[in-house]
Amino acid sequence: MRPRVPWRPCADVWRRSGAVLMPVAVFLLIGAAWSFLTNAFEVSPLLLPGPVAVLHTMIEERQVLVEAAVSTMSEILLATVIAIVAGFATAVVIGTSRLVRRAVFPYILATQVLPKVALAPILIAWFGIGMESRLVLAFLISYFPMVINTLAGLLGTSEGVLRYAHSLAASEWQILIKVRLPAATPSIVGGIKITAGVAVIGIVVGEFVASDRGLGKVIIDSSASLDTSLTVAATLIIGVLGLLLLGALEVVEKRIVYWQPGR
Amino acid sequence: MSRASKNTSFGALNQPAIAFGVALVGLWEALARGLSLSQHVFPPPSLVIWSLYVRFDLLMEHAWLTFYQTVVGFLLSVVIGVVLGWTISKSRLLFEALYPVTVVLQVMPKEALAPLLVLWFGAGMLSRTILAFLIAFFPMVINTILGVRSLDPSMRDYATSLQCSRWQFFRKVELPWALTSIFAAMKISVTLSVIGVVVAEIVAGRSGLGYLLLFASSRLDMGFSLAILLILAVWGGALFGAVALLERQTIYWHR
Repeated sequence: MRPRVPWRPCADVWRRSGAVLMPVAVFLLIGAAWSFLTNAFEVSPLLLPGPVAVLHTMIEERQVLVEAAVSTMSEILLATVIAIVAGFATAVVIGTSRLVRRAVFPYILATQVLPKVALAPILIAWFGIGMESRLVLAFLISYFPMVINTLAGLLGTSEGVLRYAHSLAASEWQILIKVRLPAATPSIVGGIKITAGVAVIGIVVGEFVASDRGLGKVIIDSSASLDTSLTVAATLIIGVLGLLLLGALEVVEKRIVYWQPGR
Repeated sequence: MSRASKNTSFGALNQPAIAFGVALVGLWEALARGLSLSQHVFPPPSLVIWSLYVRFDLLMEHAWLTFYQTVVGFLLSVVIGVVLGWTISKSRLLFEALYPVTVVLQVMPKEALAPLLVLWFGAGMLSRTILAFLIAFFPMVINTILGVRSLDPSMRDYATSLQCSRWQFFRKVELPWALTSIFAAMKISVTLSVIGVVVAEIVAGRSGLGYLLLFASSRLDMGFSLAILLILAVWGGALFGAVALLERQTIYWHR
């Protein structure tokens, strides 16, 4: 509980802008330190080029980078959507039957400790070097968190609300649509965020191993030819893409589960 | 319905689960033997176990390396993450400056750093341990910060009214409180550290299970590849189990 404070708009604006400015200042500081250190110690550009050189490369190689980024991003989105749909459907099916749940759920939980990125070489042997391998890898990584989160949401509906719905003679279908799904929404949206986040990892690792296109291929190729500023540029772009995706989902989450305080 | 009974019905293996597992492995075995696919492409489970047995020495040689790196990366992430998180949560300035930064960095896919780390630190143990550390580190920091800061202020007032010393307050109130969220993060981080090592080994390795896996599957020796995957799964499960056990011993009052 925050103590009530008298309304002071100026102080409030100052506090809010501080919350935005401080992290920005930290990132600028990191950039400045990066620039200063590479200059002061004359770090070889083969090892770590300064931020200016990286920016220069980004502009110079924009065609390659944009093309790779579009390919990477569309694969990430495709894998995410497939995993969300399949994971949601699986959770609804598993959620309806206690027997199926008892039989299958321990294994779904167990997949969480398996380092699924290790599937990459195996998938390449099965599906070849190409988009299929990457999509399957990203799907396998992102599917299970979606199932687990959706199921946790569907089964987490409070007993009281369920009893109330039964007392109104609601059918199982009505309970699913009108009670369980709305109650599960925060958990489902949380699952979607995890799913998207790990799909990025799946696609990028897939591109490292099955390098036929995408930012991962740019990174692997450029680091093999010691074109380090391109490596750093592509790595930064992947970071920003991941950030934008998750940031967008965060905004969507705030809209969808507006009733959750502090989310 | 108590939490314990929920756990036993979902988490633990039970009769339907065992039946399902046996049926799945049986079906796989039957399909692999029945279909006229090459054993190299789609090996039956028995071949996987057989590869495990035949190549056990080779497997263990590489497995120890992977095991060692995951443990070192994980422990580093716990120690540095908790100390740093605790420091950040204690200072308003540090919190406002660094907490959003850690959240942003947490979202970025650290796996993408693997080739750069290999470039900087070589294709040896150092780059892999660092990647494991980097991936496992951010959940530790964030959860420590959230754990420390979520302490109810009235607890602080209560402790003050009992004239607790700073050490007593830390030892008896703050630490036990924060441990719940620290352990939650450790269970995430321990799995992530395995992922970090494996990614680094796959991207640029000359040793370790990730490298062995890449080698085996490039030769289309799928029986051996799946055996390696099995070892990784068991190792991930063992690490997770160890942390969960430690959690239950340490914060036995929780749940």
